Amino acid sequence: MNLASKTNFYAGLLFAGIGLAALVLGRGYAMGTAARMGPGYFPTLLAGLLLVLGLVIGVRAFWQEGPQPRPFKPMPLVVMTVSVVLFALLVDRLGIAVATVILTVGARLAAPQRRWLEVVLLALALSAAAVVIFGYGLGIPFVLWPF
Amino acid sequence: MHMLDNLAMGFGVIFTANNLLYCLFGAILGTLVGILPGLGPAATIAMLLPSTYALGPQASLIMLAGIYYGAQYGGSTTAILVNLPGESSSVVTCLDGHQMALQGRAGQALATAALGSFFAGCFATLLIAAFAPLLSEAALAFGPAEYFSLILLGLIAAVILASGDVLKAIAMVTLGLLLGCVGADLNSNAQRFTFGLPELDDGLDFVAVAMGVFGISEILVNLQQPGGARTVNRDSIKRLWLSREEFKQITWPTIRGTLIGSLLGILPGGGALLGSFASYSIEKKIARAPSRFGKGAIEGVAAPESANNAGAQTSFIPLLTLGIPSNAVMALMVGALMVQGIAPGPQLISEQPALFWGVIASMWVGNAMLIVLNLPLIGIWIRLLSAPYKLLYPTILLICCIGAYSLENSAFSILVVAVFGVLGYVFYLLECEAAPFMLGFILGPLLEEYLRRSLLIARGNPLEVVNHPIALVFLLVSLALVLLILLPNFRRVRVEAFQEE
Repeated sequence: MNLASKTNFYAGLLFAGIGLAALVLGRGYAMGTAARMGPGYFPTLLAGLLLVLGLVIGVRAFWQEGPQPRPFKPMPLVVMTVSVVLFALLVDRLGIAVATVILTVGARLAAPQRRWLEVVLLALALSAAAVVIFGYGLGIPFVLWPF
Repeated sequence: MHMLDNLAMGFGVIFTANNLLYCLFGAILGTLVGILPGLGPAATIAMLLPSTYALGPQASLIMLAGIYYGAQYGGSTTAILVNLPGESSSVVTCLDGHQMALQGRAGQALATAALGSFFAGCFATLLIAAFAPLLSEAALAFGPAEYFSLILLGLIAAVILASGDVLKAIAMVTLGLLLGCVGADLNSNAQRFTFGLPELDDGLDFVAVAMGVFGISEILVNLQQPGGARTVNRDSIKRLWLSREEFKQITWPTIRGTLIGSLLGILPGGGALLGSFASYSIEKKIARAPSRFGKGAIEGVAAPESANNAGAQTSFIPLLTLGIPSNAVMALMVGALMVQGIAPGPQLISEQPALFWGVIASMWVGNAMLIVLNLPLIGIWIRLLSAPYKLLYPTILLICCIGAYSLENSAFSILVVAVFGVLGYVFYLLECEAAPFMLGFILGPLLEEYLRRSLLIARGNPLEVVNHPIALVFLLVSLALVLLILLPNFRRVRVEAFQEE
């Protein structure tokens, strides 16, 4: 394919895809009339608009110059997201103290140049801060400890 | 003398131990956020929103406002000493500010930035006090048709005044509006895009969305960049004050920057960034020797730094008078008000006079605090400049996760943060701006509600709008803006306005 702007092509694809998905998901919502709009009226309007905009942006990318792709390393994205999701899944089971350690170690794995002692110390410090400040101090009803 | 009475009431509000403390806290935090590259006011405010529930409306708004204009002070320090914009609105300050530092005149540049910001802050405070009440009075007569067209105009203007690809920005607004539909429909209670998850009944929590789009994705972007050692030019600070000659040089640029920044701050899509660009290019155009710019011209620091602080403050005008946020930070302020049970709108000034005038008075007090924080105490902040990001970002991440949890005391919001972190990063990769998305997301439910009500009144006939002259004008201006952007000539001017050098 001869694209003038890969970035814009993918952006168009993303918008069109989300628009299409919203149209499909929302096909059962009652439309109503302009005077008495049903729950489907506004979202369907927007989803259709998004689909059209996405197609225009994507097609235009074939000849109109635009930005070229930014460098993308998938690892930080994956590692960081996994550690946040793990935190979410574990915080109610294992407690904030352990979940914070997992989150911090995971977050540090996402970046290059790490010294393990430093990572462990940071994880313990943040974990202690989370328990003391947010748990006892602000009284957010966390599970604090795994036991 | 009505205004003076009101300002006196405002000063009564701010001069209480509690509010002064939060004003100071906001100013300190703002300076910190401004100085640290890679941490912006939007992410910080999103991070802190959950903890403002307990503060009460006055203290929370005073603190959050302080973060935004405080960041404009801090941003210049990094720009001058490290040649990195600590804040996006300080990008142009790098050009001449850092050159001044290389010539051993960093002290003068810092003093110029701080004094210019202070002047702009005082002026913008008075401007808000004088004009906001008038504007809100006019807006009190607005019905649903007027509001619908005003929000539409705001969204379109926000897109055009933002930098970057207009079509993509419109798509981002649309995407934001669409995601604003998630949850139970207000009128029929029908579930929309909830995938059967009861947690989504009330829609996506905007704090969690903002944390993901601004907070997490910012970290991801920063981790991609090679973290070279920053060289802080500390020795170049010799004298933190200006000579009489230098005072003369910056007087008019500061005044011009303040006026331009104030004006552009009020416009939808405005705020701090736009004014700093515009005022820099104007200074360069009217200078007798434009070639001095980029080589350490003191005017090139004075004008944009005054403009960005003025713009940061006047962008509160549309929020406090019409209830319409003009940029992403103001969109978060809407959220801050709503969690306090206060609906932003033209009735705010008359219903919450202590809040309104208190926030205005706090801006003046906050600016006075900031000039002390940023001139005599500059040494402390410079030390922080070398704080390693590897310790900072896990902390930011943790605060986001805990903050999200505390929204509903449930881990579900953390998952929302994670999803929108990924989405925000995808936006970055595809060069789609997150600010229009956030505006659309916040304004979506309002836009739908006003559209419904106005068409209900008009019995489904959109042409009924001719009976609403104000709404008609708003719609025509929106249309004109869309047509304007299609003109190649205008497009070229717009591209030039966002390019420096």
